[in-house]
Amino acid sequence: MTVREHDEPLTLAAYAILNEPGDQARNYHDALGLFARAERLGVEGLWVRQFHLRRPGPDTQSAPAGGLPSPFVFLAWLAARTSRLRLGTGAVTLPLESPLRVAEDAAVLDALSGGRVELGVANGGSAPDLAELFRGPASAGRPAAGTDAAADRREAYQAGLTRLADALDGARLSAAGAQLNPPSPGLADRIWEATLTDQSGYDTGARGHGVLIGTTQTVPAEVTARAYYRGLDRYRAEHGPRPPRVGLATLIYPAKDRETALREARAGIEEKYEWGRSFLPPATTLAEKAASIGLHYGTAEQIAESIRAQPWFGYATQLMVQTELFYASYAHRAEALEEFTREVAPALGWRGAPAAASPASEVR
Amino acid sequence: MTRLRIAIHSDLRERGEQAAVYRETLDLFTRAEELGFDGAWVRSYKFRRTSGTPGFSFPGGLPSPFPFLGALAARTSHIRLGTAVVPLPLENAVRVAEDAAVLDALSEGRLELGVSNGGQPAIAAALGIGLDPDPAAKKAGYLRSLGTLVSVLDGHPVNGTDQELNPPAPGLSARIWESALTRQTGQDSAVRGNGVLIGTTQTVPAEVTAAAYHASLPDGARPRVGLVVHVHPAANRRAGLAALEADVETVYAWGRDWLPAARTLAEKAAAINVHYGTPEQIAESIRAFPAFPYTTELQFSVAYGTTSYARRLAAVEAVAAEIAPALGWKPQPPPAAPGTGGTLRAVAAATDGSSLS
Repeated sequence: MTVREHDEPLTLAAYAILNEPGDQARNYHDALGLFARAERLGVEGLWVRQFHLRRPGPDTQSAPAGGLPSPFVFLAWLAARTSRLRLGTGAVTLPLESPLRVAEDAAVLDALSGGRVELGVANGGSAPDLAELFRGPASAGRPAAGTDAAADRREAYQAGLTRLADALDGARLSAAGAQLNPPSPGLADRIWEATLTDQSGYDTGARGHGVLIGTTQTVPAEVTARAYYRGLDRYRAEHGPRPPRVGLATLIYPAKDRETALREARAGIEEKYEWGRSFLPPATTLAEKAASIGLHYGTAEQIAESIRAQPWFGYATQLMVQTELFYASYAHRAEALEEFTREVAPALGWRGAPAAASPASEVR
Repeated sequence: MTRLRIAIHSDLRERGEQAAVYRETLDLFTRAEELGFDGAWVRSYKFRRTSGTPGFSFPGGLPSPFPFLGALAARTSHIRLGTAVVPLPLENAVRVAEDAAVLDALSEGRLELGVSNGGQPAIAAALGIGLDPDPAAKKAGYLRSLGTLVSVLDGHPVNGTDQELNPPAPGLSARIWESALTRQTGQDSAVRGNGVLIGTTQTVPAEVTAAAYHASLPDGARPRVGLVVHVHPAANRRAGLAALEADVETVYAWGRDWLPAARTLAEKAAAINVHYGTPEQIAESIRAFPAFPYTTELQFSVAYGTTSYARRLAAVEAVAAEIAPALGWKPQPPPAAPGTGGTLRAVAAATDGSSLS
């Protein structure tokens, strides 16, 4: 069992990439229903990914089959239907956006939700081709995206991130004294960054932000997490105490035993492994591939054991539970999430959601 | 004959904490749906200023209409959701298409997408955008952006790539409205098949824009003319005007360079399209407004003259119960909405009312 590396309570979030073909409006509403249910199960938060555009046709390797381009609109809908759930963007691809437009959307959502926004952003390493598409008025005034050098991209990303954080902090944004409206007190302290490497993990910690770590990393998740804690130590040395915020994507598929799980999830496992073959740990058998893509499967006990055995588990402050890729229906996903909150999470040290926030912070 | 529609319209610039203003506005709009209003429109404003250059005033407002309307979509089932307006020169057209498409998907096709060639230099400067000082060049940029928006919404490849908008937005490009301030923009919007939003900050009288719109509409096209009217119900006209004094003076002073000349408070109120008094008097005043006969949707703003939510709510109720019916409006029964409904209201006969057009 991994020793825990921090004193924070373990929290749960639902996590969805929403990259699914079919009727998008139907997908959105099914997902919204699942997330509203997650709140009733005591799940503390929610993260949705952002995908721009789609490429029609059978080849969806380099473009999503579907997905959600506007997380703030989606989360605003959910804000009106929930009262406690933390509403996370996991993550906004910052180089494709105007940082001030992101600040405005986040601030409006924060005002509408009574301060429930968790603002995840990412550099989006594969963004250059999309960056061309999003060139336009609102991308003026920030460094050009889409240059070849990774260092230039990182610099541009950091400039955008600084602009975003300054706006959220109420800084004057022009010589005439314009400030972000609505005000967003405390939101700058709820920035998270989605990272893929130890360098970006370290940088995120050094900025005092939270970190979102996927299971299909180009380096192992625990490497990124360790680097994050080192960066956070540096932040603390300069700025004072700051609790770690480490969200780990946790892909699950419960079944009555591991063989059944593998059999039912086979197509999804094969597809995901093929998608990430170039950077995932090599695997031959189906069970190896399941491990390679970070799938936890089987009975509740087996899933808990599988998660606890991960080298990253001791670093995680939040499990971002993903019930996608393998499921026949949303009812099936809801059952999986419910079983996770009832049997798996408590075995991992989850104490359940704290008491409800004050009604004053609710939208309705 | 086009049925006269009514909408609630807000600039969300009431005094007070912004989050509270947003919440109250959501409550007010939700109530408006229950009362039979056909639509809800929000204006958009960027930034605020707590110190700095005098004369550069940002009292607040709503910078992000799409998330706000997303929350409204979750609380309502059939009211139309309008942006009034998205200033395209300050936005990326592809991102606007994405936000609009997601809202339309979540709301089951209820979005009415208002856009404009707006954008003050001071706002653009804060966003790091250089607006072209030449009006013709700025207009050309607006038209390019509008063209991109329509093309992307229609599912065409984005900027010459092999990628397309997701989620798809079927029919949304037929629900674009343009803010029209002049005769020319009224004509151009009609030729493009878009609706027009008039009555807020006209540089020519609203009826001039509206008449040009109708005259240029292609044969068979359904006119869409949204006219903002500010209403303030009161015991009588004198009491109404007294309550409106501060707001009328402020707004008139702001637009005095291009508004019709006015000297008395009543003249100034008329110049900025404010209607007040008893419900009968308000209806009479709107009926006499020269742009009214061209209007297909009256968009009621109830913010002037009061800081009280209860007063605004009462005004909305007066609009639905007395003012709009006196102008020929009849509520339309809501479509049998699956799931999200829950509104209770008496449904009047579904026969079409009509305005002049």
